[in-house]
Amino acid sequence: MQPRKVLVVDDDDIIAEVAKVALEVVGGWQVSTATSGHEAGELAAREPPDVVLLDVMMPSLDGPGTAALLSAHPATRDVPVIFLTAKSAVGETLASVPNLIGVIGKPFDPMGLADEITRLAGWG
Amino acid sequence: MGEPRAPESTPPEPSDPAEEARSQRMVTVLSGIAAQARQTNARRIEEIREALHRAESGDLDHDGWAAAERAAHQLAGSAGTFGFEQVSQAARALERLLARSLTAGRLDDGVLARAQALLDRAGSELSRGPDQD
Repeated sequence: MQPRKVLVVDDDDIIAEVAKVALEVVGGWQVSTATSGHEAGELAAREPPDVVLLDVMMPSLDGPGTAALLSAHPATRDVPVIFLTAKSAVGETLASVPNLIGVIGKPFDPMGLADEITRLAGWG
Repeated sequence: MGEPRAPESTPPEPSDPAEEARSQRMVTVLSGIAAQARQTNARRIEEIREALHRAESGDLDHDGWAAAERAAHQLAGSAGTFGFEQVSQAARALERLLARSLTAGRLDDGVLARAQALLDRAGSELSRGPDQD
């Protein structure tokens, strides 16, 4: 069975690295990272992931904008998105975000991140 | 920086050699990232401090405010991930303060002093090391 492919998008490269290590080591998944929404769009179009873990507050193109970008591309239009955020107000905008399947709060528990994604994505 | 997110991130009791190796690898790799994060967060504090100095002299434009707010946001997230809860809380309060000023497009009385106090608290807590449970 092929390992799950996850794209982690966060403009803080340290947070992206922590998530990458956590998902690779604990989940045994294949993880790529992007530090902007535009980079995420390019990476995902080249090799569509099984899920995108997406920071909400990013400069230039934020999380909802990135989710919209992904949904507009034929290669990524059905890829599920999970928000990774500390923003408490995010709930107000959830309904309009395409393919959003859940939210994981920051700071997150590296040891439990893979389990949380598995639960939200229904991979269990 | 310290170990990430104790106690939730504490590796579970290994039940077999593979799990033990996985937990050990996590601890090793995350310790390296934590050291890098501590340096990055110290730099973020200095960036915000410089922005507040510029604001005090009326020399901070909209983009400068936005950059300072983003630095506070990243500081809060990163510090919290690595067990610096006090740093994270101060940075989160600072982020809200900067965001309000950015949205309002003006500096109310006392905002800079409050921002400076929150930044000093974050810097002091960062120097002390991660919170102990």
